[in-house]
Amino acid sequence: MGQDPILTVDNLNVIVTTPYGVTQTVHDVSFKLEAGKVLGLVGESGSGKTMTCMSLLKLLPEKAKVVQGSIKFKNIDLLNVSTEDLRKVRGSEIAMIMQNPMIAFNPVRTIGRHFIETLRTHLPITKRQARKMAVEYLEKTDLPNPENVLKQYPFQLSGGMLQRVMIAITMSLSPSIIIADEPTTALDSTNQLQVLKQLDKLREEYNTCILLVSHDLGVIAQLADEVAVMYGGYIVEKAPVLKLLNHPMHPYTKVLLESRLGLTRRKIKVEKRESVSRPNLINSEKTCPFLERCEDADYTCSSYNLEFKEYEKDHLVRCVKSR
Amino acid sequence: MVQNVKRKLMKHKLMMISIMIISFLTVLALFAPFLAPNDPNLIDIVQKLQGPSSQFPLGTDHLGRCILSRLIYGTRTSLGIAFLVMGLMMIISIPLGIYAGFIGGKVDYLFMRMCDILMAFPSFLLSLALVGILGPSLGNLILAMVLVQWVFYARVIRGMVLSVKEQNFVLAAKICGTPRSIIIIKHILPAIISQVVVLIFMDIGGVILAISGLSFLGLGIQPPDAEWGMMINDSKPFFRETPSLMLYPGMMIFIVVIAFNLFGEALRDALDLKKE
Amino acid sequence: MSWFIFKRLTSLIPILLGISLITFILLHLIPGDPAVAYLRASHIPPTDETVAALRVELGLNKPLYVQYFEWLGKVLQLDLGMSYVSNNSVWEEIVVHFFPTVQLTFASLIFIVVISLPLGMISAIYKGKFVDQFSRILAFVSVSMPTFWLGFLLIYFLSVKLDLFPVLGRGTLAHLVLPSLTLAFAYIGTYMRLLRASMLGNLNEPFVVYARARGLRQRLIVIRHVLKKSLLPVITGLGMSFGNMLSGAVIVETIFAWPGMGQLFVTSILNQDYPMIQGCVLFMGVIFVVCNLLVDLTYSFLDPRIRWEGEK
Repeated sequence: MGQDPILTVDNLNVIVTTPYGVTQTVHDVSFKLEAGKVLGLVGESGSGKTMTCMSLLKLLPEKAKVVQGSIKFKNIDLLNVSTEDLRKVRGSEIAMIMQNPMIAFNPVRTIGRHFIETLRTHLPITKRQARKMAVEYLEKTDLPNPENVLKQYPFQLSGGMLQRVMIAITMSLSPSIIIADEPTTALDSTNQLQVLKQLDKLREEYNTCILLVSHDLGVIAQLADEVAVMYGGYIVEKAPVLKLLNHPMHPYTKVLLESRLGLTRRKIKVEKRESVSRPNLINSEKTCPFLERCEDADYTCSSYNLEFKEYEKDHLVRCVKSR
Repeated sequence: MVQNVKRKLMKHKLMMISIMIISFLTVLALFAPFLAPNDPNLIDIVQKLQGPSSQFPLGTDHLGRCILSRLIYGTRTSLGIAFLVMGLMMIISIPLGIYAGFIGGKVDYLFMRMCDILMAFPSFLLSLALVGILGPSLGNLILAMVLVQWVFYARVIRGMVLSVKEQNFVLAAKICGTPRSIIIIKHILPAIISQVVVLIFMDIGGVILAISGLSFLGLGIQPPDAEWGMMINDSKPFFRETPSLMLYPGMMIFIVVIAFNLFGEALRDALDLKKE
Repeated sequence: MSWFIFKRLTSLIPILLGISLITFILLHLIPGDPAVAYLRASHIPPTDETVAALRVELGLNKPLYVQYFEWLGKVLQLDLGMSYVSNNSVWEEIVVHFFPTVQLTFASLIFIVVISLPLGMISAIYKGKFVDQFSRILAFVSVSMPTFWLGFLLIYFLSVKLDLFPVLGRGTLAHLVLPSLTLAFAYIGTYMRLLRASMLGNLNEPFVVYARARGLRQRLIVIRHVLKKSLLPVITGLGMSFGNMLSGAVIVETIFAWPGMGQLFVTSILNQDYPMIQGCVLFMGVIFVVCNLLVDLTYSFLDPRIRWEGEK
């Protein structure tokens, strides 16, 4: 891990304005992406994963805003770059694979139009050249009959096929970073593995780094080199994948690991908690977001500041009790 | 943030203005005999087409009648008839819409087929034809409007009932064995009533426009009663020389309709917010 | 696709029958004896003999359903009877008056498209800004303005005072401007707001986020992605309004002395020319339905999703 990081996110904070007040959905998030490496981002829905991804390309919805922090890509400060420069980075340098392929394409435009417009936005080529390129890259993702796929409308393809089209579009511009936001969630399990294999191939061939977001630890374990666990807007634990799986430190990570379904039947351990409340996102004091659900919580949890601690090298935990 | 607040305030302001206009006009309509300076129907050819004076603040029309008085009495006719028409339509369409939506069956089937056919005509045209066949009169105007347009409202209400019917609180009431009549009165009606009120106020402007349109064509309110649309029609031969004959009544219609439209939209937004 | 067209065409039959039934009944709502009404309208004194003779001639002595089918049979051969007033064939009169109305409606459609679509698009993009506030006010004005008043205002200010356009009648292109603008005005607000709402809905769709994530230029996203999809409901609406306008130009044609269907209709109502009223209602009803059918077919052709459903 000696090389220079391609993307450095430092102390990122995002707030969302709702009719009921302001909530902070991303708290002090920092991480680095290095060439050819995969960083996995795990957490339940609402933990701030998607918000983190979206802020990297300034694609946050209107009501959300980055209030603090910095995002550095190579030598560009992504938060303070001009709209036009940022647009050039999108797609060609940092590409995105969307959560639900079924709704990520415009239903009144063919796949070909989507593909060609993307290529021609970033490359000085003709329509015909673009079409040829599109066919080439669709072939690489093992899509049958790519010529025909280009003529199809999004709703005529299955979710798995659309996801592969998206990967093909992403590959065609050989970006240095791919943000894959729940790339497998909307797919059935046979397609899931296919898509993960494609991503792995991509990383090997082009030395691309991937930010892989999922709520599924299985997906993360398959691909990631390093894992960051998010809860309530915080990264609560970050470690290389094996360390995290073998020695989870944060109580939430432990819950996450225990709740995974394996192929063996086992007694289902019911999580003990009095309320099923969502993490309290509106609190302004920096108490632990997992406090209400934590089995080990006691008075110390609310009285100490929540800071990252290094449990051992590269293994960071944000829990007062981990010492 | 600031923009949001500003927009809300503007909506609020518009709502206040529209309420003020509507209440002002209601007062005009209710107390017309006390507010009008002259008899609106008193014909005096000697005084025809005069400009504003202390006796006739807005001048006189081609028969020497006081324009201001006719405008004030016109408020009565326009608002009165519009609400009468709307009320009659609601009396028909609320029970029928609820019956068709909640109980369904043959009544619903027949109702829907009737909708298909009646809605195959442009509604203004059919009202016009009905008035034409029955002969122009106030009664026939009301009849023609109600007969043609109630289907539309009944269908919208049916749709509202259908969506409420599937909601859990209604299903729960059904499972508990609550009689239909009680479900309708205690659950369905309260759930749709605010939407119906919004519908009434969003559409009343359209009804006013249609009535004055028919009167303009000489098919609605018959002389000598004052009505704005008819006043514009009366001004046709004279408006080049005395445009005020046409200006004032048109302005009145425009103001009334825009006030109701603003009020209707503000009401819809206000009720929408509650739902969220 | 052809199956879809076939299905839509067959669904038309009961509606057309319904229209014919209503039109037929309409004539039997005349207060009093239609034969007497006929005689009055043609200025023949109604005596017992003339009335009886006419009842036989018009088939009024037969049972109602027989009358309906006889009438329907004639209608299918485009025989809509004779006008009481001019004694011309109703069908021929309608054909003569239909073209000016089509012309007027097309011109209005152009006004609607040219004014409301750009304004709607701009106010969606600059939501909450000055343009948007302006278009909101314009929309309220547009739907609240009485057509006949607007017509007179335009005549008074643009024709009488400024002498920019001819006042009445039909002839040159300049004659077309004021009537079609008047007819269009009420729809302008509606379509401006419709396109705005439709675009705003689509601007937050995931496909727009993905388009932005691919680095597409804003202009391309707005026009090729958002506008294209948002126009679909607008096109449906416009098509239906087209049918409405064809038959709803009544007031505008009366004001501007435009010799179209609307004027024919109003004149026949004022003259109590019953066959003409009946003919007009039937004709406009059929035109309205056909317009809606054409819109449906166009829509299914434009929206690949429906086209695909049809092919399946």
